[in-house]
Amino acid sequence: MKKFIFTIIAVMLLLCTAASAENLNIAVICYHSITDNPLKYSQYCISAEEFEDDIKYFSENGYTFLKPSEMWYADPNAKNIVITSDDGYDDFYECAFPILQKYNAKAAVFMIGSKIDKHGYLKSWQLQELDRSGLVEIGNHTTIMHKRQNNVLEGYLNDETYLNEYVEDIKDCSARIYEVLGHGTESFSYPYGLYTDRLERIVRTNLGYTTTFTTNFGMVYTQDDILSPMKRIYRIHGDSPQDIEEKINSLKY
Amino acid sequence: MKKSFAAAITAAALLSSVGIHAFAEGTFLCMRADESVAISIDENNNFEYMDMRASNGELVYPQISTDGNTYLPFRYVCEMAGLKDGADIAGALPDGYFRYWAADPSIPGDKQKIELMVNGNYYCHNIGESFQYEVSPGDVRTVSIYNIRGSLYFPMTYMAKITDSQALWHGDTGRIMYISNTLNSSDFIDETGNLRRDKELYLNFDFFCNNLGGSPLYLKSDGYTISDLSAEIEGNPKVRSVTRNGRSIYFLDNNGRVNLKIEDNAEISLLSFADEGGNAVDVIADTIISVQNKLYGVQVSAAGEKYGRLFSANHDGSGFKYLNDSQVYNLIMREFRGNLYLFYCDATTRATLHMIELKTMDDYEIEITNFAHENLLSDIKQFVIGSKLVAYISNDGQLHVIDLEDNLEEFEIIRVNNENHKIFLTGSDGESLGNITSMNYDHINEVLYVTQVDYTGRTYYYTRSGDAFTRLERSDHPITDLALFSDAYYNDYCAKTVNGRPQIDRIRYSNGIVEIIN
Repeated sequence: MKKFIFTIIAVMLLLCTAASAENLNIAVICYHSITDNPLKYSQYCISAEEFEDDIKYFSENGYTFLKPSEMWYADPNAKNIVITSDDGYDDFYECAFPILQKYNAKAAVFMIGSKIDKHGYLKSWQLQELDRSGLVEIGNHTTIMHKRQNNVLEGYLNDETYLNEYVEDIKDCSARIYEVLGHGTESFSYPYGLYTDRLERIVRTNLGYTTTFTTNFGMVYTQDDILSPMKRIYRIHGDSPQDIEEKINSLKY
Repeated sequence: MKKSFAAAITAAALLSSVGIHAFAEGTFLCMRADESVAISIDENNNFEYMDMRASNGELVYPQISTDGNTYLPFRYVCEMAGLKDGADIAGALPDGYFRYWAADPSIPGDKQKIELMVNGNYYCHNIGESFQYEVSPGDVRTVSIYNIRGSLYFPMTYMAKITDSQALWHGDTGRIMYISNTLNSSDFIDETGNLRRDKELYLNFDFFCNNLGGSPLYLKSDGYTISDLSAEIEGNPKVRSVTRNGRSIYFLDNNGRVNLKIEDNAEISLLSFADEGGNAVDVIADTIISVQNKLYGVQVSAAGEKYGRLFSANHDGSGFKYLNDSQVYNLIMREFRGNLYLFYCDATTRATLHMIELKTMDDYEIEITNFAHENLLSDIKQFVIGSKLVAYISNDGQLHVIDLEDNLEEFEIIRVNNENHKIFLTGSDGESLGNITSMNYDHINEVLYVTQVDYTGRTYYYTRSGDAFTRLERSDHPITDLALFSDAYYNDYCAKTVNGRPQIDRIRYSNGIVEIIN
């Protein structure tokens, strides 16, 4: 009997190892603002045309669009891609969402909690519509931590008092999203990509987030990578979809 | 060049039909990026606020591109500069006209374009196509003319160049100035590029001077003369909540009715309000504040009531509407980082402050707590808000000061250590600070003033660096309110109602100390 149990455990461990080692090669693309106002174009504010070019290209070239919650189940044989947009600008609804609908592409928006319903940001009804569409996953981008400067935020992460405040802020944003959508979220994007191992453990273990994202450059190779803050590829204004694909291919194992 | 431009302006003025603004004496515009309100002058050099609108009636906004160029709404600025729309003109465009052409789908590759004929020079640009021009020797800009959601945007310095005007941008205030060279710019802006302070006072930009709450006093538009409004009205009635829009002085009478008086004109009229459907609205108000052609206030059920509903209306009383469903009180206006905000206290909790950003009309609830998330506000009777502190008097007469530290960038949710919240029971003279009944904040010098209404009539001031309430003076009579002024030369005044009569002291702030100097 003991032998049998050991065998079962060994097989399970092997299966787990095999699964985690399986190469998923998921590219997570990081967008911010997507606008139809050419005066606002900047490195991280791209045009709606550029966004459509991307989605069209990925769609026509065999990529599978995933939401963060679907990453764990990604097909290792597919060309997997996750479209993410940080901050929750209202141009995501106005410019990006119609393109996502047109190509039936999935994406995630990481919303700054304090900006819900504010000028220039997504309104509650827009978030609800995005959520109901089944195409867009709404994630947490903290309530007010995002508005702290980089260096202030770094200080927060290394100070226990402020770390607690950071955690409370994540919970606050989660509650705001729950209030709007009627359900919570398990995706989190670190403002400025800044995190510590301790904060990551709290976010995963205490707050129950299953996918977290940083802004460090890279790919998600295996399921193991999904268990820590995931690297992304910045989408820069002026890049072509081919440029992005080139980056993806250069990062692939 | 100047003469020919003036001639073009004059010609345009002569040709212009109703609704076209053609200023024979030139154009002065002062705007802020992403705001639809501009300051302009009329033929008599009177300043006024104007809504910037496109031909379809939509509000338009100056914009600053991410490469640092300022873009102005094309039609609006053309018309303000005296140019006339030549849309109906076939063939060559006469001098002093502009025209927009939609792309002709029957012509392959045809693009939408704009044309201008100014001072005999013809300019034509395809929309969205970049071109270069030299703003000043060596300063070559690459720009485009953009059609953004139906509104055309034109590079400001290029417009200034072809209309022989000056274009200025003042980074500290975010103000954009467009001034034709037929005007002497120093009449309007100071050496730092800012709008001249007396003009600001005239326009009621400076809330230090003109949001006087319970005071019957106001600073006249010369920027120097302080006037007691009640003395200007026959019968010497009690007036309060004085506020100004250009030359229009608004105030509340004893019945809480909004009165309107034109500066230097004895005639006074009651302001009638009507909602957006044109229906009359009966307004009794506790507080009114006028800014940028709008009137904001708290409508109460009866004169003397403190709590009511927050409303806005146009300066002539039309367009009355409620801004929310709550009962509110203690309405104040402040300017931070170039943006205007209304602050008020929620009457239901008396422990929640709100902030409305006037640019967007977004209403933020301000959360001020310690790190245990305990609210540091309670039972607020009156509050003031500065850039680095919030102070309030509670209904039990206690005086609270909360130092905001580095929370300035985050007004919605402010967390501070418990030590930042202080309750002051005595002044630096050892006297009790009970019975504080009014407070006022000098946001230029960042000094908080509080007044005790008792038979000693004490006034104290507080600075963050001093961290104590210092007695300003001894008065033999009770003070019922205290207001703060600064004139066009930044001379500061402390104006009080003492025994029912106005008393004005010139005060001087230096190195954390306030002195009365007259």
